[in-house]
Amino acid sequence: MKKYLYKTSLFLLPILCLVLITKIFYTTDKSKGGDLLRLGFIFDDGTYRDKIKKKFKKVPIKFKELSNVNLENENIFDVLTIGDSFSGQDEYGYKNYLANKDSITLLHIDRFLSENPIQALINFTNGDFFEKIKVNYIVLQSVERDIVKRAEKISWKEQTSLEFISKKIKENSLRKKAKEKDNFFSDGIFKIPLINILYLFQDNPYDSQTYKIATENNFFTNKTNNLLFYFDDLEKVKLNNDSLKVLTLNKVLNELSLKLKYKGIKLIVLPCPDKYDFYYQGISKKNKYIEPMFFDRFDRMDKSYIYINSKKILMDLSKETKDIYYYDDTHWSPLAADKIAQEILKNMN
Amino acid sequence: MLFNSIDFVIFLPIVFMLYWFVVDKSIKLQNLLIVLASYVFYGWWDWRFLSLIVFSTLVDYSIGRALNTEKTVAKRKALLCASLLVNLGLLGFFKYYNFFLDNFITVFTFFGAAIKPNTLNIILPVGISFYTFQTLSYTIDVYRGKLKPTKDFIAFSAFVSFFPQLVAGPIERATHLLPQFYKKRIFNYSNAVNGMRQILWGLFKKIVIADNCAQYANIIFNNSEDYSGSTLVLGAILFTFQIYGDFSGYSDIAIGTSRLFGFDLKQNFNFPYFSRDIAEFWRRWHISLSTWFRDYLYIPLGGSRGGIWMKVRNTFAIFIISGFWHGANWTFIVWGLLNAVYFLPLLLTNNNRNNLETVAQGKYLPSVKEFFMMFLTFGLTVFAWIFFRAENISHALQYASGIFSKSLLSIPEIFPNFLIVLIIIFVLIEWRGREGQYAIEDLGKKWKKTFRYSMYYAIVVLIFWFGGKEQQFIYFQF
Repeated sequence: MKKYLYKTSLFLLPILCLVLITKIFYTTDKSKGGDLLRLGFIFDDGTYRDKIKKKFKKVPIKFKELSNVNLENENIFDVLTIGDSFSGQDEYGYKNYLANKDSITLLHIDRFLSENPIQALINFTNGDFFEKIKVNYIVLQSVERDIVKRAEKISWKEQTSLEFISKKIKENSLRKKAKEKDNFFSDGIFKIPLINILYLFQDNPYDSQTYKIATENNFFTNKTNNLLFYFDDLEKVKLNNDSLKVLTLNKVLNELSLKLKYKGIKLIVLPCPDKYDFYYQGISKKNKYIEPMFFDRFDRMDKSYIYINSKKILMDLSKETKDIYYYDDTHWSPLAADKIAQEILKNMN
Repeated sequence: MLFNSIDFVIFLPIVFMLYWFVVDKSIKLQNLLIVLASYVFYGWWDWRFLSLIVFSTLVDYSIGRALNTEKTVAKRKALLCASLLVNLGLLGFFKYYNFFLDNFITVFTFFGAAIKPNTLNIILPVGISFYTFQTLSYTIDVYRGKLKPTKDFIAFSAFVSFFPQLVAGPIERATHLLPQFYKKRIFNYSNAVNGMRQILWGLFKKIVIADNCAQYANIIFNNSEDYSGSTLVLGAILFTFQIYGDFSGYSDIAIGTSRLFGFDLKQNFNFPYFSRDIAEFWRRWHISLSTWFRDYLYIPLGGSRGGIWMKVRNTFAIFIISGFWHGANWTFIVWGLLNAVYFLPLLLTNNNRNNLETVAQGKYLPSVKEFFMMFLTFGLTVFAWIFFRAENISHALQYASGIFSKSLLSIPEIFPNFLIVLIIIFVLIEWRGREGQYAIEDLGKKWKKTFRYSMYYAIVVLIFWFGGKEQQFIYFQF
């Protein structure tokens, strides 16, 4: 028995060590670290979020989601929001900060109903959605890396009825969210230590979806002159720099704005800068990386909708404070979300 | 609790240490630990269903004791019927209630009657198809006088709930497993090492082969209308390896784990894809279930004795019921039916017991004839698996008809190179080890320690490297 235990322990020891290292320094817990750490398999001490939590204004949740609202009792709202994950963020998202200001009533379209928010909004407009639901403003949000692509191949004839939406909501509620389990047998125990070593030599090692590059200044509370951003921010720069495609996007938004105007609704467009774009000027070795031009081109175009120039607004804010975006996440922090909410309110009044 | 989960990785050493260091002096305490550990293992999934296994244990223990004292034939029959009723009743309710109700409604609706369905939201308790059959084997063998009923309730509970094989087999016979609970288990080094090797190979089959095949098989089956015939063939082959890797992998882990505790379980898969005909396949695939049906259903029905029609009837009955055991869906019944159609010609021409020894025994390669026979049998099996995997009959027919189209000769749209290479290596290792209990049973035993341990590490690295999304064991749903 002793021989068996000794040999088995010796055999399993290196594997258990790797498992332990991975468990201690790498987490998939969303409350302890952002998505860029998980996507990049990056070791982290997990203290960043605790450090910056105190900066954020905590407000009660005051927005409503379409999947949870009873339209028979409640169908008139000041604002409707539709977008991607930047329109999420629960109580720390811009929509909730907006809903807490000046007793504004806000309805949010759930993410699963609006994979492409631009097309989804067109479909709702063509259907009976706005016959039943009365809103004064719509905030159409899209992250920079996807915004141009979302305006390609738009169908102006597609429509979505409220009946279809109800059906999707029911299906979604039945789909039980599987508890994400850490798989014990995972390539992470090799990949994670290996990738962290490779980060010492490369900005984006094999199999990582996160870039980690040096910056001239320190933009985050954790005092690191590093910037983490999602690989897709860089992949889509060429597409987003294409003036013709940006023009197409603006045309689509203008047309949509007119359609909504006939229904008495004002469109507010909120493109959210990619983290790569936002911090580009602070990158140490800019010669390695293509300059994003989306906002420069988009800003100059004539618009018939209300435009929130979130990049400019947040650049001004960044002169006063750090952590406009989370260090470890693709998304902006509640500081940015609150500021954006203030700007939206200004444009509504 | 899944074998490939972190929960089990923590659970097993704790139980192992308690078993061999704390309660090793007493058989009763060892058995009690097995019972408690097994209930924790089972209850980890859903504690509410522990009541079913406890109920089944109590009923069959009591019936066993009653059969010991009852001499009247009619009363003995009644006791046996009670056991059958309880066990099959539980199985029938949890597994088949909604199936029968839905089909009942379909038939009546067809004839114009409007019936309001009252389907229930029934959760299928994990392992119910396995442990009910295991306890039934006890009462039937006691009834037949093949086994003395036990007075030791703890030993019996341990036999029913033995965690390595509780949720997905092998279905052990009471005559084989129960006596092992009466004897003191003494730690045996080579047995434990053998157990670890078998667990390692089982994990390899499940995680590297089955889970990776599943990813592609699922894509192809779930979108079968969009793929060419050749891709559909690939999907069917990948599912064939998925189900083998999954199920035989689980059995290997179960048998290996049992060895760690001093128990010997019967081999459940004997390299079935190297079979030369369907009869041989069914002697090698899910052996514990097919022998259960043979001994408790086929032979009592008359088996192969009697005229042609009796043989035909019994063959169809066994395969259809076996198919139905797998799930409440017409696809499983059709799968069983298809296997019956494959098997019947062999039975009727007395060729069902031709290939009893391992193919190419003692040789490196099969003969051309053997290779051709294996290829044909494999092809028939792959085709039948389409029905097993499909969502419903129309999906299966759509899938099958999609194969036999012009696009059968095109290059598959999906071709996972790395997986194909892995499968080829896997088949070669299985072929090499086909005369053993499991493929790597004697692999490396004569090598130097360095090489042998390097082989173990290579397998471990592959298991972790290819460990992707944790996939449920397929047979958990049965």
